[in-house]
Amino acid sequence: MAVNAVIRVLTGGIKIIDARTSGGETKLIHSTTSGTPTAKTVDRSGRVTEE
Amino acid sequence: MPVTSLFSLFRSRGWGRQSEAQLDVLYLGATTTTTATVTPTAPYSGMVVHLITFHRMLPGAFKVTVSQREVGVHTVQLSSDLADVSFWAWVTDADPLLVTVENRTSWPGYIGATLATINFDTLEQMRSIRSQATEEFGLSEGTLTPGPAESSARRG
Repeated sequence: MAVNAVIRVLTGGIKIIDARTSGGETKLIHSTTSGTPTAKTVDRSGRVTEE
Repeated sequence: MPVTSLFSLFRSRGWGRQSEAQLDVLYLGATTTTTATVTPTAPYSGMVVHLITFHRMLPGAFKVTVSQREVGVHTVQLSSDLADVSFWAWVTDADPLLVTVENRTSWPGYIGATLATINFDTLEQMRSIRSQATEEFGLSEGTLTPGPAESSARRG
């Protein structure tokens, strides 16, 4: 399924615990200012897959 | 009661730790809506989110909705290349902040957001400070939430 949204959060006191997008998947990229970004994909049913 | 005076109170008392967090929607498909559920992260257990500044966007392309249990639902049509959304939300794992961005155009877009927060180490600390702030403003418990008292958009 096509990814319809890509969201990135730089840690600074917040985190995204999930994200939903109408009609497709959401790719979440968590990254710190000094660390390696990690990506997760949330499908339209809300299932989170680590990459 | 302007939100800025409440923020000034927190600054003057040294309550919480002020910070800004970056939230980027790097890609948002045409006529697509996405909702991010935001909570505090370690080492913090609670936070006030009081301002979201949106940037790097096409004028008129995005509609943003902020919702949280106490704030309710607050929708803003972003109208320039920089827009501020002000509110006052006490956010915890149990009461997350939902930020919804709708791309109203027929082509993909992207948008950046900076969340201004006041972070608290523990929920007990947040409750205590909230109680003190409530007392100083002479408000009844539960009303220290101006909510969507103001929103504005300005040219960048």
